[in-house]
Amino acid sequence: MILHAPDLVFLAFSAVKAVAVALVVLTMVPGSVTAERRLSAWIQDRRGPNRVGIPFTNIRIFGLGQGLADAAKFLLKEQFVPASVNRIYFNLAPILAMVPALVTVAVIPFSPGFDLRPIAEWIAGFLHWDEATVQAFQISGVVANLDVGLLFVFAVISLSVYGIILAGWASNSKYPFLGGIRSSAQMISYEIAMGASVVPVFLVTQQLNLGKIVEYQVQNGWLALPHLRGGVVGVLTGLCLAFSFLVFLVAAFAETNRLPFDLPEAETELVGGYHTEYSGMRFALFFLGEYAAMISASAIMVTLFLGGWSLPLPWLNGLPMPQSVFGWALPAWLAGQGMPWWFGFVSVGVFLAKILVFIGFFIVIRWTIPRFKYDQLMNLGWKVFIPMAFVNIFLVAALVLARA
Amino acid sequence: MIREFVPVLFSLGMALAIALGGIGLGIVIGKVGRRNRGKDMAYECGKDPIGSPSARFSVKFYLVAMIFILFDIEVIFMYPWAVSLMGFKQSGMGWQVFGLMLAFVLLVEVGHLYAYQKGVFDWNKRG
Repeated sequence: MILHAPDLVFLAFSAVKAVAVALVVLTMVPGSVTAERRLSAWIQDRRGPNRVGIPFTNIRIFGLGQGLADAAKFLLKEQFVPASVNRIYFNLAPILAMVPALVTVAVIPFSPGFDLRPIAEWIAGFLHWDEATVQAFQISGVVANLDVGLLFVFAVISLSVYGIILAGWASNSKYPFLGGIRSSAQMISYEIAMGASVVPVFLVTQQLNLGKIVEYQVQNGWLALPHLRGGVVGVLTGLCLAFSFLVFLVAAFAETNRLPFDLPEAETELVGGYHTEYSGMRFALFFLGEYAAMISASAIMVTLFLGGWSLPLPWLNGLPMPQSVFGWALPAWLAGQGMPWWFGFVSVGVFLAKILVFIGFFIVIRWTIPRFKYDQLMNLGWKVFIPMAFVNIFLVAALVLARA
Repeated sequence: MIREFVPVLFSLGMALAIALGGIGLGIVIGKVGRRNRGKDMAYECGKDPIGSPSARFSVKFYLVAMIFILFDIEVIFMYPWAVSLMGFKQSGMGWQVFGLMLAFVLLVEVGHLYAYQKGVFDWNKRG
């Protein structure tokens, strides 16, 4: 296969986006760990880690340096591997637990796209590029624009079960073993509820491509919010989709092993669960995987149900758009069509802000709700959420067919 | 088509580089500690480990795994159906296709109800 100039431009920008997205997730992880510690301290009326700031100075900046200090400590501690473990799988497990969470982010659209053609045209004047090369500078706002988008997400998310069950089994110890078994049963149970809860989204949008699902929401309103268009059928569809969102949200908590569903590591019964025998950087990878999974789950929720990178404007969901607000005329592109070139960059911030709201929600839930018992967890999954998700699918299908 | 999957490889490479780089760097600059018999033992709250590390566990975990396969395939089967239902509606076959999927799900649901009635999902009962 011969690579032409447009292909090279595509590959180069894809590589830049892949590295940038991975780095953003990597910087968000220590940030959310620090945020979690500060928020939990605030909920429990303590101070939390507020000392670490910029190294070698006395500037504290609210303890934001804590994440860096933690990372350095993980690197500098002894990377101990007990003699009783199965070394190959023991090393493979943390990698398998972290990689899927970072790969899923690749198909999530974080922007409507960056139009860099004006810059390319300017450079083309010097370097004699042809028209096709200049056109290649219109860059999509996603690392990999897959048409099977969501199918890919579920395929990759399923792989993280292997990391956890391998960690439990390779540790050759009782607590990790029990934690791994519990965790895998929990994750596969809620994966069904999660997979079934997104089918209504496909019924309404007729898409698996996440970028196009977001575009549908820009035109027709966010899927998790009540719709005001389409009469009784439209309102009922909106309510069913809001229920889908609720199921997905609960399943996301179970999938990422967060409280109230953190039974795999339940420290009061299983010491640390599947990562009891791990230390140093190998443990840090499990930690990184958990928070990266939280970030990617939030990103998927935002993309599917809360309009992805679009601005939270009430008229997107069917309210009439006002001509002016407090005497300021509103530009027409706020209705979702023909956005200016700089909105591609603003929307990245909008998307990140929505993710941060979800991470805050994950944290607050963790420190306010007690842990479920295992039988309650399985009951909720198999007897409540899975049947309800299937009923919901057929309700939405019937409503979609009944719609004029 | 294939072209769009190439960036996924970049992402995968980046994730693997972070994981392997982290473990590698940890081994290089991490503290080198002494080993002894106690430290090398599996952790069991300070006691010497009792019995086999792979303890016996409830057969229910196997049952859940098997029923998961049933439902996971069912859900995956619904994805293309859901995406193309509107297309069938436009060609006038909407309710027919709806009925076909409903029949399929009801058939699988018989299996689900059988497992339910057998107590597979009752975790506080034995058996």
